[in-house]
Amino acid sequence: MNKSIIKTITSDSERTGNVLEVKHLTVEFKKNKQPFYAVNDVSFDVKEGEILGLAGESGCGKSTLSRSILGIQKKGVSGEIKHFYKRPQMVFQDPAGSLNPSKTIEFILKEPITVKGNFSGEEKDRRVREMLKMVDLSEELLTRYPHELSGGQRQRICIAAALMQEPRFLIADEPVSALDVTVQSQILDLLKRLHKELNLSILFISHDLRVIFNLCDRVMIMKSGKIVEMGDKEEIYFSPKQEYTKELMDAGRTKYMVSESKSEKNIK
Amino acid sequence: MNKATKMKFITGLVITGIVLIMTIWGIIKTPYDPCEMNASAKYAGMSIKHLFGCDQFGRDIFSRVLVGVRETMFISACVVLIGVFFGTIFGTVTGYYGGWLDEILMRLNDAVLAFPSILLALVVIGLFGGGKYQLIAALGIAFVPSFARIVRGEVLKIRNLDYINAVKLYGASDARIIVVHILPNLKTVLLSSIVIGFNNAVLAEAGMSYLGMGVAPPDPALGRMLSEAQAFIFTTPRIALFPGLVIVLMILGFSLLGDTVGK
Ligand SMILES: Nc1ncnc2c1ncn2[C@@H]1O[C@H](COP(=O)(O)OP(=O)(O)OP(=O)(O)O)[C@@H](O)[C@H]1O
Ligand SMILES: [Mg+2]
Repeated sequence: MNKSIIKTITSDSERTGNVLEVKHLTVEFKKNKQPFYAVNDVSFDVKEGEILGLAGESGCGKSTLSRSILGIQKKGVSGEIKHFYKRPQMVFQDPAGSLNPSKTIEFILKEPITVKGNFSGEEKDRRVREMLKMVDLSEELLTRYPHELSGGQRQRICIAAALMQEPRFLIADEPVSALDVTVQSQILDLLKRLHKELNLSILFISHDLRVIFNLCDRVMIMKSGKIVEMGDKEEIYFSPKQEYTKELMDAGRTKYMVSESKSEKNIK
Repeated sequence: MNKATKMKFITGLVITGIVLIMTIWGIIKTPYDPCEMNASAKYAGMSIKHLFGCDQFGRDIFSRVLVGVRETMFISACVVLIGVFFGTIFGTVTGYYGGWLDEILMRLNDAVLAFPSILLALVVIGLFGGGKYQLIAALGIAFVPSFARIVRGEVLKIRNLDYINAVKLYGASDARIIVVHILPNLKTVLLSSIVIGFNNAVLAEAGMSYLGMGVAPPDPALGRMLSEAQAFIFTTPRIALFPGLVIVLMILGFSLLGDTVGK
């Protein structure tokens, strides 16, 4: 039944300038036998070539939203999801569970192009090396296992693996939340660069509004399963219409930080 | 591994080592033909010639114990192999796909698990006769459910992990996900349940041969040696002592290992 909810449209004539269109997406869980809507009637598009930010407090339904978009969450999902490119990929929130502990990094990076595509062994080697260079990691890591990497290295591997099939659309679910601040900014820079170099559209999820301001073009604010505000980031940050958005910004002293970074830019 | 665990582990290793040596000895060559009756050596005591002495027919007990250990090890290994093989298949398929197949197979599993494995094996033997290979098949079938249950539980955990979700997004087939990405991660839980399962198999085999099933006489089996020696337990306790001791050693060694492996 879920198959009919997710459609993939790849013919050029039907392109709309979006990589993803979501209409009336609802995800229902049962909590103590009561229906509970982790995602409640959400509609939005991700435009080709943009980074769309999704912000909201913990538990508001961000991960559930992204999982249902990709068909990982199937139970209780209703609405309409249209993808315009094949095999969108995801960088998962939990870095511990997103790499197979019994496989080497080399195996993990080759898996996407082993599963799809007819590459010779040499070609696979070459592409893995190229990708490693792209995410600034040394080839020494290839023979290691995931538990032998640092958190930041692991996250780079997750990103690299997600990009091996050269997807056009990537969902990054809090890719930096588990990392310390310096590593965070490195990973964010990396995503920004990959976004430009690979013409990659990204749905970027975070509870940190500063991170989102730094990276995204447009922003959605989510609260208890609903999108309460959506628009260009400047608009959202400097004239939020919803009381909730204001609260969220005040809580993170985001406005202060953001306007500071903005005035710095103006001086330059 | 703390000090106490280490001691347990080493003790288990030493005992299992002794058992393994006896097994290999039993495979290569025993000092005497274990079935050869020597009228002049009836009830012979322990000596250099007969390490454990002789039984009521003048058969060398040491040789009989060696062959008994060999047979027990062989039968237990086959039983565990059958249990692990089919248990892994059933457990993986039901755990991965869930749904009605899971429901049916797990109900069946519960039904089988509700019977003690010895009782179940008795039923199978009642149907197919009581030789060594029938015993292997009977105990093997009885051991499948417990392995299936353990594997299923682990697969249920693994199938929801994000590395499996990631591989699904690459477009991998179910077969590849199961064989390449799930099975290798069952190693740890399988290893400890194999040790425990082997232990149970040794006990079950000894129990069955005590009841007169399994390896056919006159070939020796540890359980049957015990039951036959009962008649002489007050006159010549030595005949019962050695097979009994060896069963205890096997169980002790494996359970010490099972307790400590993976810690
Ligand atoms: N499988 C599930 N069954 C029942 N409830 C669930 C399930 N998964 C998530 N939920 C609930 O749905 C809500 C949204 O969870 P979700 O993980 O999407 O939040 P999130 O916005 O990603 O939070 P975080 O920022 O902490 O990652 C939560 O209240 C959570 O408890
Ligand atoms: Mg989340």
